[in-house]
Amino acid sequence: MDYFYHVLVMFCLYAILATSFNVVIGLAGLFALSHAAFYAIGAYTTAILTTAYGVPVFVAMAIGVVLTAAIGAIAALPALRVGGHYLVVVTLALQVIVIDILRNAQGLTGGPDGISGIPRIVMFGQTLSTPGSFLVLAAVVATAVYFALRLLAVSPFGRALRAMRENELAVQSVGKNVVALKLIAFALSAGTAAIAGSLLAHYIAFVSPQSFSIDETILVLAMIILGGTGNLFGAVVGAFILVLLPEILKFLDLPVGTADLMRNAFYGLMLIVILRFRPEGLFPERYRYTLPAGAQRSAGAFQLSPLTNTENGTVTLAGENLHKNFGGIVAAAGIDIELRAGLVTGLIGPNGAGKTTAFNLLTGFLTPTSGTITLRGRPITDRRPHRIVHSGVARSFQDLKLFRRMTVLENVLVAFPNQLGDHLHNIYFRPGSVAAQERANIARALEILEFVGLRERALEEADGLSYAEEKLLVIARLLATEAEVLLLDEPLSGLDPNTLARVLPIVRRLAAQGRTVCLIEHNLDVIREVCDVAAYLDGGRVLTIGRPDDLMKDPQLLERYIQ
Amino acid sequence: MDLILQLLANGISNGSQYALLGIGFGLIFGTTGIVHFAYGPVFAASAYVMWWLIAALGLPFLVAVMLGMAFAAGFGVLSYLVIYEPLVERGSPSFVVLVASLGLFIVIANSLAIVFGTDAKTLPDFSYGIYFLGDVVVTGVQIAQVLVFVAVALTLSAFLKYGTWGSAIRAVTDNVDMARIVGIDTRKVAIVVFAIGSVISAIAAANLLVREGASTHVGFFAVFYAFIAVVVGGVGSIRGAAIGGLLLGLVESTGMWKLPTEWQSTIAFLVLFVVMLWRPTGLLRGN
Amino acid sequence: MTARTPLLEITGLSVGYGKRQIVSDLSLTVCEGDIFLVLGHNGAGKTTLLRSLFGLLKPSMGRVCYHGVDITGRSPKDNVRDGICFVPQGHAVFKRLTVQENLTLGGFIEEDKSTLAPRIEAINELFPILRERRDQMAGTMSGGQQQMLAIGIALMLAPRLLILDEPSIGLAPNLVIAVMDSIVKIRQSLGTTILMVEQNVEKSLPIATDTMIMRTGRTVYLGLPEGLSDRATLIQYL
Repeated sequence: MDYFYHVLVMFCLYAILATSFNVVIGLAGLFALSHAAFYAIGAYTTAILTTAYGVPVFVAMAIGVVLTAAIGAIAALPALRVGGHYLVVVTLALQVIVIDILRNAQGLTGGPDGISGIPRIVMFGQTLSTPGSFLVLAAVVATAVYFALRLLAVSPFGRALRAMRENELAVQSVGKNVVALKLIAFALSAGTAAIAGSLLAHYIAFVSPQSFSIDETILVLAMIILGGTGNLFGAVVGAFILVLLPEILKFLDLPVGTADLMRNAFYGLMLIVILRFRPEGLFPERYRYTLPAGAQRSAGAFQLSPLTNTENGTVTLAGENLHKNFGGIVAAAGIDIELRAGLVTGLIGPNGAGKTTAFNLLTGFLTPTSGTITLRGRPITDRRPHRIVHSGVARSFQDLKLFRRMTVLENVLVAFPNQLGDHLHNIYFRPGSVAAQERANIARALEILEFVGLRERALEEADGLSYAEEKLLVIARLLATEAEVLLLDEPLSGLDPNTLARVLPIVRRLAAQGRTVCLIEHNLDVIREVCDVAAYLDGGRVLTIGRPDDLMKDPQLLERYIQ
Repeated sequence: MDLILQLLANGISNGSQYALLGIGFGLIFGTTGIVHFAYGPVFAASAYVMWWLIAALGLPFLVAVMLGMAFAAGFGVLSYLVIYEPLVERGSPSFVVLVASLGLFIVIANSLAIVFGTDAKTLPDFSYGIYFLGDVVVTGVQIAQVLVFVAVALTLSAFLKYGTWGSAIRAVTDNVDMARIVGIDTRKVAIVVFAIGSVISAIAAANLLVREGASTHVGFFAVFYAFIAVVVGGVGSIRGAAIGGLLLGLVESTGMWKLPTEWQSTIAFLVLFVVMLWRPTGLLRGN
Repeated sequence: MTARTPLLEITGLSVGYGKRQIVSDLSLTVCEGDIFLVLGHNGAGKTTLLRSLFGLLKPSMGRVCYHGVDITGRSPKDNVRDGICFVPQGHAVFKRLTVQENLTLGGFIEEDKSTLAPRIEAINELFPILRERRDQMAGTMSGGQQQMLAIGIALMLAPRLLILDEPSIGLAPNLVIAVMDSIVKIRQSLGTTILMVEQNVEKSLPIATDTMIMRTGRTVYLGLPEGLSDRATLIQYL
């Protein structure tokens, strides 16, 4: 019976490891291979503090968790600059360094022999020295961790993580700070792994470097892949299956060492098979597929609130003498542009003329080689994209950059500003307020979707929309940012006349309400109908600005661009 | 002074081995974009196979090495065809291919341990000379390691520079889409680089076998050092991988001047961290 | 006036996956000697169309016939061997190789290597800047020069059918004229048939012999360029 309890304890520990690893791999989409290292740091910190320094068990465990979370944040630093395989090799290096330190710093860590005689946990007068007694604690902690991480996953923060995974540029364009997201995801994941490590140390009363090798990280990875990346419940199921399955090997009479090797080889084989035949795992990722009843009821008609603080005609966003070079390619050769409140400005010109580059420069996605950018007179030239969004400037992308594996509703929800649920302390200490704001945001999102005609599609994946619906979703997402200055990159190209007739008044109304709107478009009729001012760009420079009608009579322009 | 020269000699010798592993791994990674983690276990397996051919079948050293190279080539190509290609064809994201590679890594590494056990398999009859350059001691094996690396590196460079396959490989490394568009069979190119890369790892395995014998943990470190060498030097550049490997060897060796032997690897990994933060795309790559 | 023999016949082509059909039920015929122009807004599916013709993408439905032979979904290397060459969008060149190496790669599958040198010479005549930059790394040239190199690469096999995806993108007006002129010259001197996607209506329409306009994956106009001479009609379609 003891053995059975032992297996369950291990399942609880691996459930903690798998769910926490899934936050980084599945939700955030950051491929890091250092999870076993964090597991180790948690285990060793508490082991060292309790054996060598006599620190009380719970204090030592807490210190271990905090320390590991801090190291996790440091490990995230390379992730900020590089992605993909670079992140893999750096986190792998971290994994190896940690094991090296554990093996070599004999004085501190006991070297390859590890640390034994770790004190047991005492709770309510009971010493948890048997698997059965420890199981109670392990199960409680595992359940608490699961629900805590689940709360995170469904919160606006979790949504921001997934959106970052889908498209890092787009998530910045709706005001999310990807640096903070990555650091927090890593720290949280590492700290949680340390919880499992601390429990392990006081359960077995012994730690050694062998238990924390790269094989261990790959095992936890296998659990996540089997269960379905991005699905926390799946991670728990994956842990259950992969902890239990090898127990079957016990029925075969194998020499002790070989059993472990066969188990590992089996994991590897299983990983390959899953990826080949069912890469999405057992449980697909599903977030926000139902609507809370309250939200449905309170959704009314979309109201665009008029802006009163800026006078029509004042310059809001401006760029002066903007240059941008990429090696031999000149993308901007001295762009001067002024966008004014209450006006719709159109940017026209051939492909490659620098229109999208202008947008990228004005919104911080590119840093100009020279030149300045100002918002209401204050310089914002080196400000990062998400900060510029907070200042009230939002843009859309010509290639849409929708969050494809998220629902239409979530695509809009993620764009709302000032979400309490974007901050961890609110999620855990003010869950009621977060939930209330979420319901209100869902109602507002439904209103926006109704307004652009996508209400029926709210709970469908953005991937399944038609081309016209995708373009409407882009507009909806932009409306959700509540930005004062809106830059739209070819929002209307390819829309049929009916949809156009519906969307154009929205654009006009945005400006009429005091917002600054700038549009890149190729359809000159649209430009004429909707824009107050048009700027013609060619060769990385603004060549002419004026009223659309005047521009289109300009003979030079006619020759180069219009027929 | 002599100590520095000795460290330099050791560093160059070890660095040559890392560089050799690096250029093989880098060739595969740079051309196909696949992080072939199983590269390490294939390297280890080659060492075991060569040992077995010599110790159990009594084959002459060079014959065993040739067969070992053939084995590695076959194994490498098989990995590509059976594991990676189906995933790539399906359009799987690179993360999936990488995890599959980890799966393969674990399967091979553990299978080797099951078949051959965990103790090191050495070639006891192999003797090598010891040479003195002033007060610096170098073994025949160390010299051989450097010479072998130089020979392989020069051969590979020439192969890539001249000849049809060389241009095809360089084209695919530069722009796989364009390579397809000019009619290059990218599948054949992938098979060729997997074969060549694996053969190079077998040559490194021969070095290892002579120096310390085959054991199961060498696989991980081989691919890990190779990966670092490539990333430090810049992906897609053979010269970069070579320089990355040599740099690793030298830094590791220098570190031994002040730190005890066990800390060698940690130093190497710190090199990686520093380079990543300072020049993320590698030392030899452009922006 | 020579009889028009069909060279490339596309019937009912659809490209996409699941619910997302990027090209839907598209049909067109390109005859020998044509300069066939495909127009449409950004995102209309023009690039997807070309890439699936050339074999870089697999169509979900429909047929592509070349010289009466079904080549649907055939791999690029088989198409290249058959005299179909493709110039993709966005100055697609081998950036870390020299101009000379780039052009030589264009002739990679050419069995008779002795034809390569004269062809390089002819391409240098067409785009003199390439002769100047022979040993320069392609990635360090300007956008326009890279674009000319991209076209040059495709000419190395003296193709029968040349497919171009927005060759004038990002080029200054005088360079656009140069590119369009060279396309006309290619057709005249090599007898190459041209299938071209373009954004610059004004410069490309005059050299076209046939036009098709796409909107969200479908054909909205198929016919002679003369039908689009009136701007109002043109704007209506775009």
